Amino acid sequence: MRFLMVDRILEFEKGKSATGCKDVTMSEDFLADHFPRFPVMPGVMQLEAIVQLASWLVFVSSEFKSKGTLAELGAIKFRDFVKPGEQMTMEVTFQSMDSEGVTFKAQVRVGDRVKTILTSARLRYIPIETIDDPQEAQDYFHYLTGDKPFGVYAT
Amino acid sequence: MRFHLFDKVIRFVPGKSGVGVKNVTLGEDFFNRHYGLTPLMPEPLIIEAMAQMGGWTIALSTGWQYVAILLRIDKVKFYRPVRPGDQLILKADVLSINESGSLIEGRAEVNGEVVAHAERIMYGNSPVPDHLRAFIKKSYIYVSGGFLDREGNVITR
Repeated sequence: MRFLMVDRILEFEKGKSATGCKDVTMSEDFLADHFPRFPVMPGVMQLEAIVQLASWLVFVSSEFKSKGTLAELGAIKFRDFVKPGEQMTMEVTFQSMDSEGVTFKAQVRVGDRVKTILTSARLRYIPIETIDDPQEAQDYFHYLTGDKPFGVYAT
Repeated sequence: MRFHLFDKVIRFVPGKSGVGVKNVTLGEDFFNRHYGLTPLMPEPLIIEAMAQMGGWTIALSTGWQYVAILLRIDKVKFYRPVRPGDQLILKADVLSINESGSLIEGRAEVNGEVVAHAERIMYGNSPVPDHLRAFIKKSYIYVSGGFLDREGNVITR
């Protein structure tokens, strides 16, 4: 599997908030072990989806210069299971930004039902060129937001 | 990817603590695109590793009466990145276990240095139905990495 937990970025406001989605499908590898005979989206994979969305928001807010990695987690509550066939909507809201990183809150919804609440977490900035090809990351971001196609079709 | 975030158990004190090992290798699926130029272990999976070690400790401490389901995670700090080649030592200390839920404090170390610390991981304890107990027991023995024998007893070396 590829470790990409955001399927689409639906909307975003630089330095403020972003909404993204991730479809949960029965063919995900991790559902085989989590749990046998009872497939549910692992809580930490929801957290990873939130972190990746927040990281994309850091990326666009920093004019494509840095991403973010998780440095601290205040509290995350898992209220209800997310099951295969459901679509998770992740909403990330930045609370404060400084030179080191960003503090944010988030929630995961399925339809109108709030499934998971993250009350506060902190991402540490990481310069994009140390982890990914900057141009490729930027192209992929535009693909996620639907601004332009990706890869061989991007002309 | 398979969702087993520890390879074997190395110590277990019933009702008190469990210690496990997770070898981090470049062949892991999660290193695919995380990231393109530098492989770094995703922090949420370090939490999952600590949480799985805690869940295993709870299930064995209660004699497979309960399986632990993750409800809440509080106050986690990550001190340094984890890379392929690192051996994570996962320490789960039991803060409380009762019939409704359990609390665990988790630590992940590499070479004696703490890389992640979770103050509280809270689980709901879900009773295991009788018809599933043998199946659950088998899977917990499987993930122990040779720490338990086929009957679920600790193998003394």
